Formats: sequence, C-alpha cells, structure tokens
Amino acid sequence: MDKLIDISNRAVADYGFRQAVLYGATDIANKWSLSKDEAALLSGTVLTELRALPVPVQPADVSTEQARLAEIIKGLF
Amino acid sequence: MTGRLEDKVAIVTGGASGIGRAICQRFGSEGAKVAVADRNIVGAEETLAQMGANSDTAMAIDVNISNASQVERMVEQVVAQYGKVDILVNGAAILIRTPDLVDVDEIIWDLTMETNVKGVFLCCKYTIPAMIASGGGSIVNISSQSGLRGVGYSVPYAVSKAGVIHMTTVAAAQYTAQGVRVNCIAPGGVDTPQMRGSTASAEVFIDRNDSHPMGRVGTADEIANLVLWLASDEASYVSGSTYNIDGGAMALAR
Repeated sequence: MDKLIDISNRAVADYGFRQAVLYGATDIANKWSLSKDEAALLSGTVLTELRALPVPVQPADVSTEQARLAEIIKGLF
Repeated sequence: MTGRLEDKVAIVTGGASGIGRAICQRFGSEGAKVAVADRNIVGAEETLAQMGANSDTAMAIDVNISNASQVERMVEQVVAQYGKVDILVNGAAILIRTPDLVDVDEIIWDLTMETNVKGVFLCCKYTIPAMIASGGGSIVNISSQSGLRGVGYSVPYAVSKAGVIHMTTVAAAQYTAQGVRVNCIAPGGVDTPQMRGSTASAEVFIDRNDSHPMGRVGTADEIANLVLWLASDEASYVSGSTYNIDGGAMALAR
C-alpha cells in the first residue's frame, strides 16, 4: 500500500511522472515491485483518479490531492 | 508549398500529442505516409483523426519504445503496410522534475534513461537497416536546450537529452555514408501539454513568456517546420548537426 501511495503522490505532484504512470502502469508496477493486487489497483482505481486530475494541479492543491488519493488507496485495502 | 514529402514514409514517435502531433500533421500535409507511434494509443488515434487520415495514408501504432521487440515489430508493421521507411522522428520522451543531483531517485533516473536514451537507440537500431534497404533516409532526433545547458528542471532529463545529441553525432558518423542522414533539434520552451502540465500555474506560464526575448515560447508548429526541413530532401547535405530552436533564448543567456 505504501508503494502505491508513493506512486500516487509523485503522479499528483509531477505531470511528467503522471504521464509515465498513465501510459506505462505495468512498467511502473514492475519498477516499484508492486504485488499483483497492488498492480491491479494501480491500473484500475488509481489510474482513473489520476486521469481526472486537473492540468496542472495547482501547487496549493498538491498536498490536498495527495491526501485525497492516499485515503482512496487506503480504503482499497 | 506542399508535396515536400511526397512518396515518403515516416515514423514519428511521441505522435499522440504536442510536438510529435504537430510533426505528424505537417508531414501528412506534405504528402508523407505517417506512422503515429505512441504508448498513448488514444492520443495517437486522435492525431490520425485530426490529420484526416485513412489507412492508406497513416496508421497508429501502440509501442513502448524502451522495449526492443515492440520497436522491431513497429518497424515491421510500417514496412509491411507502406513498403519502406524513409524518415524517423524520435520525439517520444518523458520529463520528470527532480531535485538536485544527489537527491535524484535511482528509479527516476532509470525510467528517464529507458525512454529518452534507450528508446531513441532502439528506434534507430531497428529503423536504420530498413532505411538502408530502401536506399537511405533521414532521422531527426528531438533533444532539448536542457541537453546543452547545465540548468533545467530535471537532472536525468537534461543528461538524457545530451545523450540524444551525442547519439546523433555517432549515428551520423556511422551511417551518413550509407545514405542515412541523422540530425537533431534542441527546442527551448514550447507550448505543449507537457509544458502546460509541468508549469505550476497560469501565472508562471505567462511569466515564462514575458521573460523570453520574443515575448513568448515557441509553438509546436514552429518546431515541426524545422523537423520537416531536416526530414526532407531539401536538407540533403545536412547530417550530424544539432539545431537550436528557441527564439533567441540561448543567445540571451550567453
């Protein structure tokens, strides 16, 4: 779960990393050594949330968005 | 002028958005058959739609350029569909902002290098033989001012883009004599989804425009114009060169 939250936090804060996740979730899952279940969550719920983020995420909103996604991820476990 | 790429077949990686999309559109309008290659296949299909293309004139290919077998298959698909490859534009890249060097995560370094350097290497590796087989071709690599200067938002991105410039030099030295011209461009700030997404706010974006010698960053179409020229036979005596395209920003920094 912590790795998934780390990925989510990075993706909220950085547009380029978000693109890498959106179009290469399998690679990201491998690099972060996610479990099979975590990888499925990344490719499912987490990607849906990341796609819905505004572009750009305003600096003042980054921590709020990170916390919101972290709560969603925690709720999946 | 139209028809500058008549009868040419081009592969453009990163064709789903931004500079890559503008290049696909420009190439298509000049008569080239275009393979729009990207991991973002939805975006690649959108590019095709905006080009008004059909399967006789363009195709979308879902490819991870850091995967050798996928790149090899991409080239095979294009040759099977259009008979040859004349032009390769290596436009796909990722830019992940990082802190200063000692604080860069190894995983972000690897991720960046795999796409920005290995990806360009693999696309050249599998496309050059096809080009030679059909009498030669033109490769245009998209680097960045970040590859020329010691400043920027990302250590791995800057180093990867410097690598692209040197790969251009090495590839040109090895393949120009066999009819494959290899060149590179190094754009400064360009108004793309990547730049908009990486810019903290609309205010910061405006500030960036205001600090530019031309009062604005470049457009993707302006970058596509230079790529078109390098890809075309008009640049027949050009190989191994890197072109700065930044509206004078580098000159101001000197």
